[in-house]
Amino acid sequence: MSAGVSLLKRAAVETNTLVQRLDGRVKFLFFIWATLLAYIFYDPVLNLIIIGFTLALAAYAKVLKPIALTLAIIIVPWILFAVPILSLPLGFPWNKTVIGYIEIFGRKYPVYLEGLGWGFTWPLRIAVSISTALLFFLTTNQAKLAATLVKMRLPFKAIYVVIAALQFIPLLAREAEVITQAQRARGLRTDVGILQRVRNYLAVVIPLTLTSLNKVQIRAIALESRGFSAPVRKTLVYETSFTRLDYVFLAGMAVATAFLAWVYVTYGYSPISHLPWVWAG
Amino acid sequence: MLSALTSMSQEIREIKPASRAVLAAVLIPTIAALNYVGGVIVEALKAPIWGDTWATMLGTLIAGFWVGAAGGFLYNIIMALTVWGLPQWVWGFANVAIALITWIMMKMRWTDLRKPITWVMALILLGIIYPLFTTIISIAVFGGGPLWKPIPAAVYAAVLNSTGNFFLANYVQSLVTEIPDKLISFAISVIIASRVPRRFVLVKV
Repeated sequence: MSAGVSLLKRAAVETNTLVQRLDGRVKFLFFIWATLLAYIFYDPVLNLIIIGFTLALAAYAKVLKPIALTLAIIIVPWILFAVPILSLPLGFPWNKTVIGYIEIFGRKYPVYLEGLGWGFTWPLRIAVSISTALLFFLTTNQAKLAATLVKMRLPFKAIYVVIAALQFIPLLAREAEVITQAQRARGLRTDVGILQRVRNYLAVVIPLTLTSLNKVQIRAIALESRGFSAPVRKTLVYETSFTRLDYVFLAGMAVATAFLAWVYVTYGYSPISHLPWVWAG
Repeated sequence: MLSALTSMSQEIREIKPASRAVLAAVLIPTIAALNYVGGVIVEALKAPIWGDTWATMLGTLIAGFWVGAAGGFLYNIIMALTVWGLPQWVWGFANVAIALITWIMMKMRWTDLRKPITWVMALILLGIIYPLFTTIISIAVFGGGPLWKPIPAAVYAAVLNSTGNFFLANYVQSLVTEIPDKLISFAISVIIASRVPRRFVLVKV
């Protein structure tokens, strides 16, 4: 969760690179496309290739650090837990193929391909999804994001709810910090027992909730005064449209899709690693 | 004169600053954001829970099932589109289930924390039945497997090793995390709901 804290507090990085200039819909499509590919194939090496490409785009767009940090916090520990638990003889039901032995405290244990494959592939699938999603989120500012959602023909109220949630998160996170500091100044400690920690949680959460509910009414009045419920066509600050750059990127994705479809038909779902089938693999 | 004043005061009482629909539209993102910040505060205070569902329960208690469910679902969608990875959006249904259970508890008046029935039903519905739902999602969509937190992962490995039962290992792992988290979250949401000013309570019990 702590990786997410810093991420959702962060606004989109405003630099003038090709990635920032891409239409939000194209970046969102890339995110969906890459995630689907990671799930259609069951191959950690292919996932690593997609992650590598996404991180290269992120480095170019100057958003590499937050994405790499998130992957390091969420994906690396997951692999470190999943690989030994699933690939050693601890009962993972699809383990069959022994690929080697590992010595732990003087005893030899078999290492299974099925568990090893699962332990790497699933976290890397999520890594593909996280990295491409963050590339979209961190290179598209909120006004353009709203325009993108309108172009996707989402209902206006649904768009407001999504954009408002993204705006509220950093605001409430800042208020929570202020309340926590105030409570610490009054003697709130974190090195206490479990029950006291829950009480501490209440000490922060109750004032936070009450202040945010007070603001709900103010926001509702502000929305009404701007004709939120009025049955008229809403206008946008930004208008988005596809440029030649967007068409080139989409063409690249179409070519890659055709190539990967041929790979799937010819070599199957695990073309590089040749992993055996497991449930939900 | 008196009748004019009486009708005026009635008129003033009837004026609402914003319609229920607009209040609900603003409450939904607030619930999503509170769920998120709740998780952040847990990290900061090292509280022994996940802490990212109490706002769904609170939303249900003060504004009804749909507002709570929508706020919880939105939280999962935002997290899936940013930090957790797209497939995790299915956990949005877990938040809808939490809103539904909270709504049932509210309708059955099992929200008085001083009564043992409240804790018994919370344990049964949120602590035992709800993890069945999350276990099924976890296995069907994500293939099961250990969580990335040390204690649940150790419990998972121990149960899998001793019983060889994949479903049971996932279920017990889920129980270890969900029973304390959901019971504490429910208590927190009930305590906060009891302190929320009446004007924000949109739901009629």
